[in-house]
Amino acid sequence: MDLRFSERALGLLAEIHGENRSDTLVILIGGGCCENTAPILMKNFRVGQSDRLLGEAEGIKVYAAAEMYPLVSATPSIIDVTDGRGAGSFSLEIPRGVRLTLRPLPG
Amino acid sequence: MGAIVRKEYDHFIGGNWRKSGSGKTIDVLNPATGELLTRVPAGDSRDVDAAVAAAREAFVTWGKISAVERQGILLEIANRIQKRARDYAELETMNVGKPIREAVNIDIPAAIDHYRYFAGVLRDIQGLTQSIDQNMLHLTLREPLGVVGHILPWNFPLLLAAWKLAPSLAAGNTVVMKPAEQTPLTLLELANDLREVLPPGVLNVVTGYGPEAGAPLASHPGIRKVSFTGETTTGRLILQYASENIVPATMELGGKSPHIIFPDANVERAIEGVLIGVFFNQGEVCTAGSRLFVHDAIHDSFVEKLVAKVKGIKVGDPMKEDTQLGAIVSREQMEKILSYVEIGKKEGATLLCGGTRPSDPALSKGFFVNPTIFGGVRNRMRIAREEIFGPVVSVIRWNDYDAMIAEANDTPYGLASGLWTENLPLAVNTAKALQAGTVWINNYNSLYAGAPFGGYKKSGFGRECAFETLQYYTQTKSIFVSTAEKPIGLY
Repeated sequence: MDLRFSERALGLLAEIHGENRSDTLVILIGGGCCENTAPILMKNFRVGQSDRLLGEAEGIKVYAAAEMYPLVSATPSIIDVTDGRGAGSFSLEIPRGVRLTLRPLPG
Repeated sequence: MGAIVRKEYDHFIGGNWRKSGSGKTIDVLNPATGELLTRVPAGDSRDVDAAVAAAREAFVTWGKISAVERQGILLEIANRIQKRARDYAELETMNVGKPIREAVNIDIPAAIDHYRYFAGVLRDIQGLTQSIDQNMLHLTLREPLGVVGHILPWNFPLLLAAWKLAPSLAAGNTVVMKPAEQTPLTLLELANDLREVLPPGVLNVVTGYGPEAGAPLASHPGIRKVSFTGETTTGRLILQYASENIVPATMELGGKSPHIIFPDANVERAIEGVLIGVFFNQGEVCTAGSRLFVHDAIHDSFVEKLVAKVKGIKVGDPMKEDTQLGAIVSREQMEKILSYVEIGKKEGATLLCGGTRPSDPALSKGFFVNPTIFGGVRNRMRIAREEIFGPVVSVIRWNDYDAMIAEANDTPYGLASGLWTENLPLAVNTAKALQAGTVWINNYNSLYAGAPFGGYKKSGFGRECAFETLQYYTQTKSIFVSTAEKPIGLY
């Protein structure tokens, strides 16, 4: 799929990766409940056999869970960062007061 | 005293306020005004360690006290909340943005009721006995697990805390709870109010962000069970932690519930049901009836009446008694909901009403979204597949029963569902055909302490709110009692 990353997202991912050198970081596009469809950046998460690879940036692979893949892969999208915390998820950027977002590319 | 918010909160650990090891704090806002309400600690693993240690220590005695005593304590918890019911309701409304009429009539009374329910049924935590043969009696005991870790969501803070705390305590466990960082206030107040009711360390509350406080709690080797209500990916992460510690888990995850209108539905009641289904708590409910399947024969007139009714919903200051739709919990959540409105339009759905923030300048600083209806929705569209967690309903037209049922079930989730018909066999057969943990026939979003609640499919597993919940908070010990007087003679 066409998955891009904003400059700000790349900077944030590089920073968090730099602070967690000994851990494997991964993003899974999650959904449901209070978080909607959002990139969840996790430490030492074991990717499952049914998760599908969407892209990679700063040494961090981005996957979608099987049920999310048809939805997110159909739309060219960008992973970006916005101010304000997320909705209570375990995503690693949350304590910084920012959150990763997945939004369709314009056009 | 009214709903006075303390200037600052600490964790509640071992029966007392306790400063966070991190020294960092989280701003807690009033989503209706955007104003700062107070600050809570941004806890980390040091705080979680202290809380788990306190809970482990407390378990030594708490796990042994009599059922009668536990029953009395649970009833007293209910009484303490009852005494300050108005305060709790106001605090919940201030922190979550929900209309005060909902906090007063639903959140707080239902929370109280859960403590009373589990106070009652805990007396029925029983084992089995059997006589294996002349010389062997066998019995089982249901014993508590130990320390239970709970990760809570932000939509019903005190009520969902009750769903987890009441059965945990009823079964003899001690707990560490991490409320959502946005909405920790009522649980912190409750812990403080129960100082004289619960022995120190039985209930511990650690506030903080998911990765800093939630993850250390869910992965802590000192807990014997984890329960989580929230998002699916985080649920998977927590299950991985649980697999490392080999502890059981209860998961209540997302939903995208179908709400089905048959041609013979009582239209007036059904329309009210649709509103209760998707605008209760601003639609920030895992069970929200967000996919509305309306039969072709009545579709146009039903939708017309629905739109007219929804346009009359009173959006406003949640503290006002006549407000029907309050504020969205946070700016981020509001932005996400509005982004789904854009997605829906792009996908070709028809925006029938709402989809915007209210124009009332008095609400401009708060996080409000007008009640929103999309018509002409196809089940494959993102607005019909992804959980929006806001006041947005997608109307899907149907006329073939089998195709409609297939679509209703065509979702990764299976939390809840609803249907409206006067035809009893049709209602029951449809209820059986729906892959969901709850089916509401001619009503929606009804819950009851004593009625099991939980998901099918990727909505999770385990059941809350009911007698069987106690099974998830206990473990079975099998005891063999020999009454033989002579050796068996094997050696």
